[in-house]
Amino acid sequence: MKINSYFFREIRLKKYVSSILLTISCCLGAQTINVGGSNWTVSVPTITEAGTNYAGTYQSATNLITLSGTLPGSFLNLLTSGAARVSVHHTPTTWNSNLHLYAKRSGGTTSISGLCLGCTATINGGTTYVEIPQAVATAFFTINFTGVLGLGNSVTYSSINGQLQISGVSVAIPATTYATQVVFTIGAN
Amino acid sequence: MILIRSLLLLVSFILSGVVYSQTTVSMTLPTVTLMDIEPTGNFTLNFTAPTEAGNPLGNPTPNTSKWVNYTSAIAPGGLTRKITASVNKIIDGVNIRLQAAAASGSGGGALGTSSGQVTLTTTPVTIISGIGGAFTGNGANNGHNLTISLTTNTYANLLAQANTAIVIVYTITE
Repeated sequence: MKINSYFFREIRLKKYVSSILLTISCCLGAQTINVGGSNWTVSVPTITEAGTNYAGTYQSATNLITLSGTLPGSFLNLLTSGAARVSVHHTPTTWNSNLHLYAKRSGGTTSISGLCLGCTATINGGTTYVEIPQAVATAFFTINFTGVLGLGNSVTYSSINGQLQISGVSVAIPATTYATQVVFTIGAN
Repeated sequence: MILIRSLLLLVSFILSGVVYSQTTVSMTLPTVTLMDIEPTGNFTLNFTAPTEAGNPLGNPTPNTSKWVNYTSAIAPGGLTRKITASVNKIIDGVNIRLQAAAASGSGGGALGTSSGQVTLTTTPVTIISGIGGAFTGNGANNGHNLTISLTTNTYANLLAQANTAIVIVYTITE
């Protein structure tokens, strides 16, 4: 029994430390991203002339969705490249491989709170359509941060308008209802 | 070692504890079944009388001015469509023949296959089959070009007659 006591002590210690750090990290808070606006029901015009097809490509309103969120100091401290990346992918419910989704952004503002020396936060990229892949997310835009962090810092970003586009709409694909969820994710660049 | 692992855990939690949000995109595509003949209008086919005793009637030059245009969108697992043709009446001693060419022009998708030359009667006969989700393009020079011809069959049944209007009815169906 005594032979294994060191082993068990080590396991117990690991468990305690892990639990404490998990609790701390939860309290520190994580970066957030929120999607405002509305869902997009693509309006496909009725075909009235024999021989014709759908136009094929349709766009949402430029401000269909609005992205916003917060990058807490605990997150900013860990950004080795100084940038957070917003990625996008979609998870279909019913889909067809000939259909392609795209997203682009316009506008957006950032604000830095707390004591921060020479700090700037800018939103970059994503102003032209980026294809939204399935399953594996692709980079949409970045939020770049520079400066020397002080206490209680965080970056808030808001009013980033998102527009979606769908292409490949055709009578050649089965006539049914297609649906997918566009997922925006924020993490370190 | 424990401390390093724990710090890695903390860092990975913050970095990989990425947050996501989502919106939904939906679109409904209805079934579509549209067909027409382009260009519109009638045409005339005239037999020519022989000028030499003992010779048969001269068959008219086939008409190739008409094109079948269609748009077809079918539900998943749905049946393909076909196009049939029939005439409102037959002319004794005369065959009214129709042949749809392979699709050409600006269309796309699962276009139909021609049945080749068929003789039209008052009973619909398939001229194009196997139409899936497809569109032919609109207007003349898009779709299936039609060759419509007249030939004599049983001379004993021929009757001299003035213009006889024949209506060809095209139907697209499953």
